[in-house]
Amino acid sequence: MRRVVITGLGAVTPNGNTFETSWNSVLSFKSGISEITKFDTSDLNVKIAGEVKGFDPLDHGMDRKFVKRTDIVSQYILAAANEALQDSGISENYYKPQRSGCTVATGFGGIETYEQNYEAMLKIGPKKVSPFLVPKFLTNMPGGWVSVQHNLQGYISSCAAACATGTVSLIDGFRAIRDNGADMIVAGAGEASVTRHVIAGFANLKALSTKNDTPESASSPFDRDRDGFILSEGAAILVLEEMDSALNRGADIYAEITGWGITSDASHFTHPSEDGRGMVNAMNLTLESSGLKPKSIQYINAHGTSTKINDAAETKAIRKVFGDCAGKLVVSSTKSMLGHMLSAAGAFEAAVVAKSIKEQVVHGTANYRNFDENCDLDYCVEGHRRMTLENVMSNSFGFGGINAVAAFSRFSV
Amino acid sequence: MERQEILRKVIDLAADKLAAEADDLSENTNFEEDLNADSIDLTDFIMELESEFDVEIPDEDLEKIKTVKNSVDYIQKKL
Repeated sequence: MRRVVITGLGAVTPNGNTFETSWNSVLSFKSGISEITKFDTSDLNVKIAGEVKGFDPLDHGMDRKFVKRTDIVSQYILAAANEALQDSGISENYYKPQRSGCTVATGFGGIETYEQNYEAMLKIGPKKVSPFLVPKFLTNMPGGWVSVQHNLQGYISSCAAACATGTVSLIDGFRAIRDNGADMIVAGAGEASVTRHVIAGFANLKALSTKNDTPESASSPFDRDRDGFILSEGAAILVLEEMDSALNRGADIYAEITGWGITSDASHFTHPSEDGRGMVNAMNLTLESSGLKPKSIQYINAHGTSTKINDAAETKAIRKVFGDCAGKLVVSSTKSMLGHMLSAAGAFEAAVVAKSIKEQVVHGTANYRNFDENCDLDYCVEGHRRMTLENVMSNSFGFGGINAVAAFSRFSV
Repeated sequence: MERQEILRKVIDLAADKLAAEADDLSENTNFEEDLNADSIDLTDFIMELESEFDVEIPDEDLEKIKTVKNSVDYIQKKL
């Protein structure tokens, strides 16, 4: 069986425009959530979000022409991809373009471009619709651009899996390499949907926190008083390589991807099933496919959105899968600091897991104050914790009832 | 409108739409050869010309507009 390792990480998040700055901030419990600055929120009941700050695509290897042709979501993703490829040390000298590919996706695509053009069409007419509308808006364009910029001529796909998109993209890339369809894959996702329109949509769905006066502590996964997630934006990319080719070029390996599970709740279109059956099924499949036992997992990077229903259902599902071992698990939520980057969340959390395994440290769950009887695991609420990490799981769940879980292991030949 | 004024506006629009510096553009600038513009870039630029000068540029005339000078001549004739 071909093995797949992670050799490069890149990210743009509300906490920094590189993976390293974002990682350091989550280790130090820093929140990336603040008052929305991009648009007027006076008539919205949600006034906070995780905005990317001070991002200039020209600082990340892009030129003006590229910027003009792309939505900001492609720019976040390309910045993360450039960083991840540089971090991996791989260059065209080391990869065959025909056997290298890209599993990069986005949930909302170029939604800002779409909104601007729609508004111009309503106000003035179809003459004001840009010829760049379609190529800027399509959800497979960020991946297309990554492949153009890095000459990746092999496997390409862009999945649509709502908040599980980043994890499904990673699994897709993992499978492409394992099944001998590619030797190197740039995998991940990005999101740039902090717009008035999208905030209104999620807010009216009652999915978002309204703790507008305390943005930094508004995301409080597993806490009794949690009241919804915080919409964020950003991108994260991982470079995946077939183990032998990575070893042959002397690559520095973060971790190995060892298992996966994707399932559907087949119950409700937005709510997870209360018994967490889809989550349970996905975690069980991940254990099966990796050949790992519950007792071999030390840490779960939770989906942990800070909504009442997710955090309780996820806790219940973890208890069901891990049984007596659940008490020994450490579980933490990256979203407690970064909010929910939607499609990019699973990708960033996978990058965090890879780095955690390399550094043998896990970040904690911030903003935890009060015990909720429905959430009774060890959420690592005191801050980061140094610990032995052999095998780790990362959970992502999305609207439509999709559950995606991946397993990562400390690398040894 | 004076030719000089049209030229100024065309150069500003071309710089904005074709990602170039206005100072680097002259009447002789060829959009495809000098600014590496493709057909979508040119469509975007032409649409902006139409809107700025309130003129209609039919598709069959696109072939005539390859340089800054072509654009200025064309618009001057239309106005």
